[in-house]
Amino acid sequence: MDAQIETKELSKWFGEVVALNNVSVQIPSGVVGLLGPNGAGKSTFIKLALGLYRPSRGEIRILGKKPRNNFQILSILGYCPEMDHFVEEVSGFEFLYWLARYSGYHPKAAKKRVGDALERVHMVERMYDPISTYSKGMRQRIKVAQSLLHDPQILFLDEPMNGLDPTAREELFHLVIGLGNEGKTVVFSSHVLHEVERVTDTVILIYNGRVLALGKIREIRDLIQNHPRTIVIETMEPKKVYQLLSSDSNITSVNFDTQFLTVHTLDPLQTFKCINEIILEGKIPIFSFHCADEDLQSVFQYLISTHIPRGL
Amino acid sequence: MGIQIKKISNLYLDTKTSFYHALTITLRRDRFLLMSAICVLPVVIPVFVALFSRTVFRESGLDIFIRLSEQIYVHTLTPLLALFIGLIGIREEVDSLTIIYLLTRPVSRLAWVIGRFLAYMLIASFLLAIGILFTFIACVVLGSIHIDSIGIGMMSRYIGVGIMGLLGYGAISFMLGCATNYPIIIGVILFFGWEKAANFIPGIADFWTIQKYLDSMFPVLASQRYNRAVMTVLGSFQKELFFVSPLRAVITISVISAIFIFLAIWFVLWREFTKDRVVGAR
Repeated sequence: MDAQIETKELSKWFGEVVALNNVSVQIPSGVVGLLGPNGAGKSTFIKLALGLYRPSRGEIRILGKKPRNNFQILSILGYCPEMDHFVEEVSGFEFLYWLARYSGYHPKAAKKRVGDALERVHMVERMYDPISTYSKGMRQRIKVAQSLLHDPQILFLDEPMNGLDPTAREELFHLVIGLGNEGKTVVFSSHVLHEVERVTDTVILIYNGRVLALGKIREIRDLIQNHPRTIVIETMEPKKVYQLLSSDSNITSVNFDTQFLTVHTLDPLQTFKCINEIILEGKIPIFSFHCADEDLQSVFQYLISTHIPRGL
Repeated sequence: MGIQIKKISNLYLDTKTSFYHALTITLRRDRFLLMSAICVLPVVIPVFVALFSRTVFRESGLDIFIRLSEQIYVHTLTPLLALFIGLIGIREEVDSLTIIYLLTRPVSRLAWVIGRFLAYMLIASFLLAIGILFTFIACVVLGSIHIDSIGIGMMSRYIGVGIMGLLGYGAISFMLGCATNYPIIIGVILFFGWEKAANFIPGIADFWTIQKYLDSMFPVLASQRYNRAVMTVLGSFQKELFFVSPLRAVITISVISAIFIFLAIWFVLWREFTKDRVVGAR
């Protein structure tokens, strides 16, 4: 594996709070998803990779070199921050123009690069308007545009889909996939699994400052499919439904309501099969059923309780 | 890779970019307009005296010009300009966190600080020089000072001293802007608290102030104009003055400025300029 980014026992803490704990990973080229709930340490990891933070312990290397204040490395890095940091009264064009100048382009070349980058994110029409008049989605596009200005080899996109409308999201998905196909390394951070799934099949799972897994997204999907779940079934006769489900030994507990039956199961796939059979028999009408805890948080909790050795 | 991406950071180009960028930022700030107005405000004093004071004991144009130049422009406006104009270029980038865009680009931190400092020096020097020039012209109307080589020489010297003040106070402001979260508060305490107090404390405490060296550069010796004494119920305490030659004062302020600019650059390299900590962090 040709590691573009490599960390060894990387830790970062702020006072008593450990943001990143003993992370050792090797990130290859291509698009890599950095997946974890809010506060997991994704942004901290990215900022360490960009040299904005100094590691409290361990080290991080980009192409074998430490990134902090390293101009050679910084010239090949692009960064789209999660938060909105702008000089509000300047236009999108001017904001990008100065960043292009700082990236080493002469005025003429800088203007051309800015025009190209804004065209790529479809912001040409509003590029001379002050940033203060931009919507959340437009600001997001400007941030993405500035990260692409100098054609970086390694790109860090920190929650880039925040605030984007469906069309813009689709465009950004294509852009990221395209960058990956060009041979660039894109670290795409998100707390939404299906967003990451759209752009890559390689993910780093990060939770509470620890890397839980680095691998293919299919494996994560399998874990989600199999981890214990809470299933809510909407029916007029919840007690009868439960009687039919009672043959499923995986069900550990149930709760009744007038219209809902909530079951906790150790094997959701088996329970889904049973529910399907009830629906197909058609004796008791089931209006809907869904998982009440199909989110990353519950998956991570499950992963921690089952896949992380005690003491880590 | 980009067609004109530099291989290594080019100090000159980075400084130039930082300089022009800081100019465009500073010149459109309300704070700049406010400081421009404040800098020409002292002009109304000689105009007011000329129009309304009819007694034979009124102060001459020369006296008013010296007092305004020393006490308003050099002692008051230079530290104010350093704090309010000097901090626009550095502090606004830090406060709005747009500095993270710069710090993730291959721009020399040294060049960035120097470019910002040069832009501040240019703008603040221009404002100060315009203010002193207008005040000088207004004082000429009052008499006892003329537009001749002596008058222009005196005015130029005060402008020069003001610029040295901008250099010293500006360098300290830049360091505070890069090192602390409250540079204006700390700056006000230092420039208007410590600097003023140290000039009355017996002993050599005043050597630890910029004002001491600025006073040494004035056209007339400080000892001829000031009688620094603290009056108390137990009596008055006269401060003994130790003189510094103008040349030494210029060298001292230049060295102090270089040290503080170096510290500002070091803080930019060393500090972690980002606020969004992890959930639960303090």
